[in-house]
Amino acid sequence: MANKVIYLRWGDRYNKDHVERLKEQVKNNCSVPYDFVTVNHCYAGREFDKMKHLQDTHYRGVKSVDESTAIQNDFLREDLGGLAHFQKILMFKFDVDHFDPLDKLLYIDLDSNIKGDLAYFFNLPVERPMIAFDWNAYDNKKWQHSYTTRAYPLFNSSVLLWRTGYCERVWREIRRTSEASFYQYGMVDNWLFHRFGPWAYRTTNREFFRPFDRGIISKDGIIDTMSGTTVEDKINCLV
Amino acid sequence: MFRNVERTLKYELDEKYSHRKEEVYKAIRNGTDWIYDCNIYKEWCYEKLLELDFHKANDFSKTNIVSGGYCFYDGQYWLKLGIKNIWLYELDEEIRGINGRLTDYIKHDIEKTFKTLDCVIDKKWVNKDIGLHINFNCEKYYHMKHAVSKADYPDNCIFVFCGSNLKYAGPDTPGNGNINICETLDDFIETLPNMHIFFKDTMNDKHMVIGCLE
Repeated sequence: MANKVIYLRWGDRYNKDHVERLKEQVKNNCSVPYDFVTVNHCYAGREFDKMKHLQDTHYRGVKSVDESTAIQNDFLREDLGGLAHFQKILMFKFDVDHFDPLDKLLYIDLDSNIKGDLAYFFNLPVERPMIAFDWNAYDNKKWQHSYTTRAYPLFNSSVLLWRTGYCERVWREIRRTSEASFYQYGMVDNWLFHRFGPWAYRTTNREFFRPFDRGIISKDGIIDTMSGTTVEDKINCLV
Repeated sequence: MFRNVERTLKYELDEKYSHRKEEVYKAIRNGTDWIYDCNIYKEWCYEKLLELDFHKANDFSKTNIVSGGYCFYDGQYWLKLGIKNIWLYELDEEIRGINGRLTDYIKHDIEKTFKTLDCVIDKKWVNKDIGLHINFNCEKYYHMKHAVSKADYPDNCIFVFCGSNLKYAGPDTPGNGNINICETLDDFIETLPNMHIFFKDTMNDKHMVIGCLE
């Protein structure tokens, strides 16, 4: 059983320098042994091609699907379709090819800032997949009001922790529902929240992901993600 | 019925759904959902079904309703349509609990089943043994032609599909969350399964089609 830190890089926004930046941060902030790896099949190969085709077919925006923010063509970003960042779901298919059973896999977005010891994550029991969570929106119940508009997902896939094979269910779910999911959902976090969140229809999907404790993924926590910020903010942060 | 409202608003909403109280009040008082004047379209649908006498020629005792929103006045129409068993589908889990209370006054006449699901992605779990299927908000889903197929439903099942051309126009506006926007009635019909259409029309921004699957 080993600890793996995973990143993904696709599109033009991030380059090798950004990978090196994350690698360096991990090196400086992890007191337990780990490997730093990428899963290349998430942005190449047959499964990727199928999903990319669906994204191209159903995306209703003008700008690049990964760079889009705000309103385009009279649609809110979350209503543009195209399931931006679907590449993350492919990790759940290919993890069994890359890693040993029971390996602990920690995915971190390239634009994240690591501020504390990542050993915290690898010391967690990980009985269920874990995901970053918007505790503020949960407390103020804003998410319930906006649930049917597919806005304000409580899930933030910038940081994910699971063991090899644990998330096969997520892969099966997208494969089963891909046509409608790519049409209906603009971003992968919204899809994950609706299909695996507290109001998911199937009891086996409901509460599938366990949230990280309050404060762990936050400005003053172990990892600070750029989720919810503008593309410009993200780029500035990485400079 | 009046006591039913009082009980729902005073007790149930105070305790469990206090954050929803204002919008439930609005839905009952003037027919608006939190952003949407939905009752006039529901009334249009129910009145049209009654006017065309479909309930006399068809068995509506088992009925599906997708995205009905807050259903308070609906109960009276359900009784008129001869509904005995109703399945209500919503994405929003809390509406389920609130609707249970709002329609308490018909509990001896109609058996209600609530399901929190997406009628397209979770279509497998939508009840097919029915005589009437209504979807009030097709604009929030992928094309219905991919969600409803003739092979799954009884031959004489009546389908009502409602959609609109309402686009996003700012926070808390009617087009909020609409993804399948159809400018014209013909555009809307294109998104539906093949149907023998008995009625089709547009009221304000809302399209409605009533028919059987072909």
